[in-house]
Amino acid sequence: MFKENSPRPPVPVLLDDQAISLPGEMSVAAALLAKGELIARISPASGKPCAPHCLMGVCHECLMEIDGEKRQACLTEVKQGMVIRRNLAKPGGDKQ
Amino acid sequence: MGSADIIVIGGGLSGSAVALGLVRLGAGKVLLFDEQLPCQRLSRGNFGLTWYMCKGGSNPVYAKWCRMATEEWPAFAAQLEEETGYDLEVEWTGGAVHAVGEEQFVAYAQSVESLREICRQAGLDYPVRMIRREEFAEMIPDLPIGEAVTGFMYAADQGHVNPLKLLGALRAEFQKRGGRYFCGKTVTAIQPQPDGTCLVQTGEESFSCAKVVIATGHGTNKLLAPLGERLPIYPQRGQLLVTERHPRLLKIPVLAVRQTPDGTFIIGLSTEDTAHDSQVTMAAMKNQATNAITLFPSLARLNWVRAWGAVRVMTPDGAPIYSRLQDFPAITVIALHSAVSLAPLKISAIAPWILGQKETEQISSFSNGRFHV
Repeated sequence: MFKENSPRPPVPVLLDDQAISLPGEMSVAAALLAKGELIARISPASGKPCAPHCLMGVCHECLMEIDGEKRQACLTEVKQGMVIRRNLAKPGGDKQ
Repeated sequence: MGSADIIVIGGGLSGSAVALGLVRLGAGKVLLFDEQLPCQRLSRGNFGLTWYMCKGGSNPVYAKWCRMATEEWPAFAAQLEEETGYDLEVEWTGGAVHAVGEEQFVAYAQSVESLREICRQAGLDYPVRMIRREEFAEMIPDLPIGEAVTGFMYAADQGHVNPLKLLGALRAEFQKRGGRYFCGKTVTAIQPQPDGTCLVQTGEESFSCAKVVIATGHGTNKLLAPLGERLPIYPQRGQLLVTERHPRLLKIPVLAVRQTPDGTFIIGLSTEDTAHDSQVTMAAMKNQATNAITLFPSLARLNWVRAWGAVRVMTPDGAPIYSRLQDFPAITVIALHSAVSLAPLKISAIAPWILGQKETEQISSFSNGRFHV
């Protein structure tokens, strides 16, 4: 019953400066997980990688820079041409 | 029927600290009853400052008491960490209060001088000074200060701590030393016995004990009423906001904003008269966020992730109540705000006083009797 019965339309986005396509009609967090991208950001506390945890807007583990704003990827729907930066080289994913 | 040497009612910061102090002194069988009321979680809503600045303006003995506590804090924390393995996240980096505009800077400067004079009369120095924004900016080079901020009231020898870890560590060492902690236990009555002992009723059970300590915050007057005593305590709500974690920028806590070692900014400086309602409100959160952004404009870019309210236990003069009931000397009652800052004295002064081992001279100034003029 949880099998997807129709494939989602692919949506072109920019992920960490790479042009890729993500499945549409779902959140950025879910779409990245579907592509096997498990790491959402580097924790500013521990410096270790974080993955989306709650997927419902509570844990803030999936914060990433989306179109220039740090947002919860689980609450942001995939849109064509989105610029997503996880800033994985830097704890906190901060652009400064 | 159960029995104990001492029963401490109230498992918050003050009750837990007193209970730990008692078992450290070998007080015998000590039980700690924690009701865990959802409406009374002030020890879990704390901001986490270990502070003496601004305290004691209307009560010099309280000013002295706060200084004594702050001086004991580093050694108190070190011992607690060693005994429990907890990291309390203590940072002894000083603390500040920001002033917006010249008028507020001057008013703060006057309040520092006025408290310095009160302390001087009590034979105490008051090492707090006003510093201009440029000087504070050099102390926190990674976080720009807002344009409207004119300066800071600052003291070097105070700091901040994780209050949840403090609460956990106090209870952990209490239990490690043989104290018994009971959660979800509601005391319905304390019945003094003709032989000077007490019966503590919990509904299902009763316990016989030699001494009782009441540290139940706003639940205190319900327990005291049948004993003919009443504390003039009143509720005052404070609200806090926390941000997403961010790499460390601010190592000196400011009264309105501090950053924890794990990267969270905690924001809060509200006082409201709302009885026992611990809800958060949009108005207070907006106000606090605006204040925080005035102080540190770059906070505007962070996500706010949570907010909560908690209800302080206030007394008319702001100082704690430590009181032995006149008619029932086996019963001691304590009620206060600033339970984090004052935690060390629960162990070094209040526990030995409860056991009759020594009475630190300030304690008599904090009896409930001071309010019955």
